[in-house]
Amino acid sequence: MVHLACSYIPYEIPLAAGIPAARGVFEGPLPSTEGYLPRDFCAYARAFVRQYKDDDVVAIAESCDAMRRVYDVLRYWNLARTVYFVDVPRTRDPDAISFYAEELESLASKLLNSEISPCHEFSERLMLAINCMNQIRKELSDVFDLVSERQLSAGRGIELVVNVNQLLADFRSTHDAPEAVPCLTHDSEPGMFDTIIERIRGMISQTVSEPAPLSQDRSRIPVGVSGTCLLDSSLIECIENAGLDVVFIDSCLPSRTYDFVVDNKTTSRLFHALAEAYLSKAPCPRMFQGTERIKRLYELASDHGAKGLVYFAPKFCDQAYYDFIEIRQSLKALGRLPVLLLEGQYGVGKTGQALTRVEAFREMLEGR
Amino acid sequence: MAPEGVKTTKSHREIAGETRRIKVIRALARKSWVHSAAKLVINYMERRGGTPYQINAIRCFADDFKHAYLREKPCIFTSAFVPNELIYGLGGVPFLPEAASGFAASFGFAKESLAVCESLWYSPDLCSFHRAGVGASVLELAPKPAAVVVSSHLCDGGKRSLYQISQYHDCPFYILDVPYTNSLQSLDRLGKQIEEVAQSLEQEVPGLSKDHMDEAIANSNAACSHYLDLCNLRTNIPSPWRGREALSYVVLFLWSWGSPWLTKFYQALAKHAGDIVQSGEYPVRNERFRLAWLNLRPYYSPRLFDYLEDECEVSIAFEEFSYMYWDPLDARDPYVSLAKKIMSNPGWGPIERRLEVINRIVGEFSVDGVVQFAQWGCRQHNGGASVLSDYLRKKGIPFLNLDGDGVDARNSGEAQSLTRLGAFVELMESRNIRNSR
Repeated sequence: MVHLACSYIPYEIPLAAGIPAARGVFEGPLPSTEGYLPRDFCAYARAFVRQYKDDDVVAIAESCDAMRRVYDVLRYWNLARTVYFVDVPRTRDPDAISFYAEELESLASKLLNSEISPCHEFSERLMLAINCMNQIRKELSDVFDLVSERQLSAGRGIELVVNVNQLLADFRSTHDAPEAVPCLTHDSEPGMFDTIIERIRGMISQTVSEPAPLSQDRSRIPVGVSGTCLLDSSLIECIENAGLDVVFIDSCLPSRTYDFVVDNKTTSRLFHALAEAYLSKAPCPRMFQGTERIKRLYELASDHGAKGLVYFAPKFCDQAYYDFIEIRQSLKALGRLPVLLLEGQYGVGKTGQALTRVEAFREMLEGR
Repeated sequence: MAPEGVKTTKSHREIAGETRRIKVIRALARKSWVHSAAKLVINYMERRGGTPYQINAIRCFADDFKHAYLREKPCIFTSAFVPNELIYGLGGVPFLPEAASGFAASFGFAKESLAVCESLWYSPDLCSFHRAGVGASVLELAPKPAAVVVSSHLCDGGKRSLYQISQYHDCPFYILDVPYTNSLQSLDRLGKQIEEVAQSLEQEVPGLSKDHMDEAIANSNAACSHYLDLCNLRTNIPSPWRGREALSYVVLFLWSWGSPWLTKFYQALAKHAGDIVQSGEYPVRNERFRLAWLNLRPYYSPRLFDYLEDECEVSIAFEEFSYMYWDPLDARDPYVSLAKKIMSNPGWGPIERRLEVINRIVGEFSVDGVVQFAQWGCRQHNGGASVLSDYLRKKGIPFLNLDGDGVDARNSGEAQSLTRLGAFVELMESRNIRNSR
């Protein structure tokens, strides 16, 4: 299995190579491997430092200083047998896109254990994987439209996304032996991607058909959630328990993973299409794309009628600390949108302190 | 779009409780007579027998500050690892807020800069070098930038804080997106970016021109040559230069490549070190141990170094940040040359590159122990502590990860640091480390 450390690393590549892949999603408390990184490191980086199985592959992106150190620590201490570094640009000009396309092609070659560029069969499967992921992204975007319309609780939405992520991690386990080296031909059974989509559709219909009591009360105040990495769903549950409705979540999971489409019309330059789509998706705080992120957040808030924004910063996440300052000042200037900063580790939403602060935020919004 | 902060910097100053001395310094820094008076004072110091390398260092900064504060040349803010030959080569003057934070801490001004930064919602868990840099910009203790250039490698805080400074001052912002892997393709991409930034700066900032590039490259190469002479002299046992001073002058190493004064500074410093070796007047005469010092130092207090050098008779033989990691630049191909310089930084890329350089420092400078100053909030360096510790342990070299803060005294426990340094020296004594090596 490939453990993806960043939403900028495409699922499509390991899927096309026939290797299950999932974004690293963890739950606290963290394993006792804290000596590898100092305590003043963000919980997500520390959570990634753990002992992996021999056939696991870890793909670390050039996200931040902390994740670069995770890459070093995993290799130096032999915590994972195979660790790849994916050099994600911080800009998205044509040069950056071309550079990233080559980086992705190189990732594919590594996953296929190939010295040369991936073969024609791989390209065909990559196209199938792109179509499959586009479909999954569309289905999940539709689910989050329901969240925005307050017909489904955001907590349920997050739960679904985590389950879909898990399904992508597990999809091959019933078909193949977990050999360390993926072999393209072993996994080219027809209809595999259709099966994945069908199973995800089943999960979605089950989620949306169940009642969502939190979203029935129209007097509840709609808010958005933003940040670098949400860590876990406890914060969303905390916000909903405090009497607020979350109408959008701008975080690695779900929006920055699922809220975009890869162009599947240009069959000849698939890596380029992937690079372009991933670098053009809703920007993460690590990117340098001027005020685009702020404008997008403001539009999200306006479109969904959010009255406030809860910004979650994993403790010691420098990207979030700097991002929050820009977001707070700019949203205040643009539309007087109040922003609440919450810092924390895994399970932050289960703490009384977080609940008190969210409740105080709700009272403030009620008074406006 | 500029954040609201652009128009309300004054209120932030008020919130932070701007002190009278800050107002005075801000006003004085922009008076031409102050810079003329400073020049006279430096000349007087020189006539009174001031140490030539120190005089040249002061002149180096005095010259840049005069140009920047009086707006005689465009002032370009850069992050610590941008090759400033680019800025001098365009006829501008660089200003490094994070390096200037060290100055501010030395002179006791960092407190106000940090306070204003915190009033703007900057977390105290961020590196204080960057926080103080932002604070100094908001308080306008720093000059006004005509543009900001950052590189994406090494340090998240550097690029993000400088981006925010560019927003406060509503000036152009450029990022050099440095590839992680050192390859021809990466060099080509970075070289192109540097060239594009140079072209854009030339168009956007009046007064900048690439006509000075050859001169800046020549200055850099000349300084490099004298610097290597100095490094060679610093291999001498005992050490001919005080480590605390060397750690203070790291700021020049980060700032002034391309300036004509850097050549004079290193030339004079190499001569000074040579004279010390000749005369035997070593700063730590009975040198018992030699340390390599990684990362920076606390700039607000010299006590750690008084203790180490004067009481324990331990020298800091060399510093990680003083390591010359690039080859001479090629004036015929300046942008690719600067790209190579950026990508040669041992802190960039896999940690093995950093380990290799530390190993070289240990060997070349006959180092007995290694101290990493674990700057609070520095994920770049602190994240390597476990690896570094194990790597050096296997080589039989004692290692100390010394927690502290270079600028924000509130994050440091000086007494605890002294105790830990004392224990580290005892450990080297008990292992008879010098003789065993």
